[in-house]
Amino acid sequence: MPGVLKNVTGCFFNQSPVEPRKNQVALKNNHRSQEDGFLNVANAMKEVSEAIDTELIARIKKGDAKSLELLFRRLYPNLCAYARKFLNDAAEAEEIVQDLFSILWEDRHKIDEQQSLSSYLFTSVKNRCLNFLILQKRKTRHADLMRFLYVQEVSSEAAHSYHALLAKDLEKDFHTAMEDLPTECRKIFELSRQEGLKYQEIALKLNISIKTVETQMSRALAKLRLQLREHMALVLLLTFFK
Amino acid sequence: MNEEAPQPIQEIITRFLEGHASEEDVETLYAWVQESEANRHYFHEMNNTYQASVTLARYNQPKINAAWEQLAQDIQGSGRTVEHPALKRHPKPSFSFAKIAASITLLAVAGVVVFMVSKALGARQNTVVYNAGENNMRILLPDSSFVWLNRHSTLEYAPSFGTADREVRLKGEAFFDVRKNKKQPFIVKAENIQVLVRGTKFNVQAYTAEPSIKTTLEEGKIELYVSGIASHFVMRPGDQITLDTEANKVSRKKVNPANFSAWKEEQLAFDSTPLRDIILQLENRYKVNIVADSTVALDERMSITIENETLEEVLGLIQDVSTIRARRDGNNIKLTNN
Repeated sequence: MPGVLKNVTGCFFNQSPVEPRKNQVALKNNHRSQEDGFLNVANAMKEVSEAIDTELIARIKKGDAKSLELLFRRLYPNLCAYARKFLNDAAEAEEIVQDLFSILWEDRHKIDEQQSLSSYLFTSVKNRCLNFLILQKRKTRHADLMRFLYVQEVSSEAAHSYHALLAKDLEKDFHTAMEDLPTECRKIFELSRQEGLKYQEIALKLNISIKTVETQMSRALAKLRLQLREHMALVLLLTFFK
Repeated sequence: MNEEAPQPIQEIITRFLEGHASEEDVETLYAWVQESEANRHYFHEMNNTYQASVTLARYNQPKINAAWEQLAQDIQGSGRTVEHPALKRHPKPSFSFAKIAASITLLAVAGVVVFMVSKALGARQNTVVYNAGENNMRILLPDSSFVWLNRHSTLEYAPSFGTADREVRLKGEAFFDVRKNKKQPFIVKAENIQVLVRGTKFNVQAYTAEPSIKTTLEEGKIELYVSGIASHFVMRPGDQITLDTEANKVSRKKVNPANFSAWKEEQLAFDSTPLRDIILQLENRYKVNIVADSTVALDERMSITIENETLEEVLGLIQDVSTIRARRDGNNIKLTNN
């Protein structure tokens, strides 16, 4: 299975003591030698990911369920996020990821230790989602739109990239970005995300209209997109060197 | 693309990603992304941002724990079916006995009157549970799924249940909380429908005397097969599919699932429910026939919550809030509108 980013991807989600952020910052501030910067990052990441990945793969191949659990816990949220991107349906996305791990376990003897397992998993999730979109029986406009965006139209860098979703510093950057939102906007966004409230519940709680909640939510998302562009662009940069 | 999309588009994208978009929204968005590469790029960035924000909040430790437990169970489940191929062909008598004994214990705990019938079916002994009691009862199946069986309803399953298959046959009404198992779908057969599920919560109302079979999905996803109809129906939470058994016609609508599983609760809660459905539930709960004559608007909506009230008290309540009058004659109740 061809990985989009062989051996490089693993590092984004592992819990290693090596801190890629420093390297990323260096890369950000050093446009002249972008390529060198990238290579440094890639090398640092490669070491870490290989150490973890090879060991994990070997144990999984031997039938160690504990190692599968470790891999699952590390990758599950990000793989789900990636699947949701194509399907815009959380339940369907989670099912696809769950299935993939089931199959990985069943066919564990077939795992190629030379390949990056995480790249393989992300690529498989993508393929499964695209197949799902293509084979989907329900001919809804929603499905048509998702097919148009992710199956027919694939020119955009942002379309199939998953790196933006799993960078280690995303959480930190996200919280920084949230702090820059206007107060009311941030409050509404937090109620929706952190506390999981529905629009109607937020409207009741803050004594505002549902329409206002909706407007503020879209404003928050649009602002966060701008704030995180730099972050995402930086991560996307890596895909040019595949 | 650094510039912002117009605010209405931003809002449509947000609604779309949140799953609240109307058909019109989807059309507008479709046209907009077709306009330019820049628009598509904007959408992808918004999608990335959105998914990142959801992931950071949604996939917390308990959620990941639950997902892992689910997977661990799937993996073990597949191992178990491989281990006992013999059970498929030669079910051990002790195995069936243990299962029936387990069911009896649970039923005894539930405190209802139950008839256990063993039906000869070749060499196999099916487990048949009939609820003849005054209350609904909860059954724990061998695969750890729960079934709430309404009064005057029957649930039947073969000894192979939980090993070779997960198939039950229902007469009457039951609410299912099915243990998830990817490898082995759970199948409910009732009259001329079949419901195929992986793990979910739903209600099937299939009384032989009723001209319709109602399947209502509360959680998860199920597939509904109707005999005589080639394609199947994929149901989403809140979907209700009604099969008109006389015309063999199927209709689908969105409902509040709580209205249709309320019989298993101590409390019946109708939230702006058409009288038509309230009547069905009351018939179901009090085991009476309610007939409304043509003067009664069956589409009229009412909100009522019932706990320990008798049927008389409930009818009194309906008379208080509407112009409907009820007359009782044994098990038959006639509604008219004055």
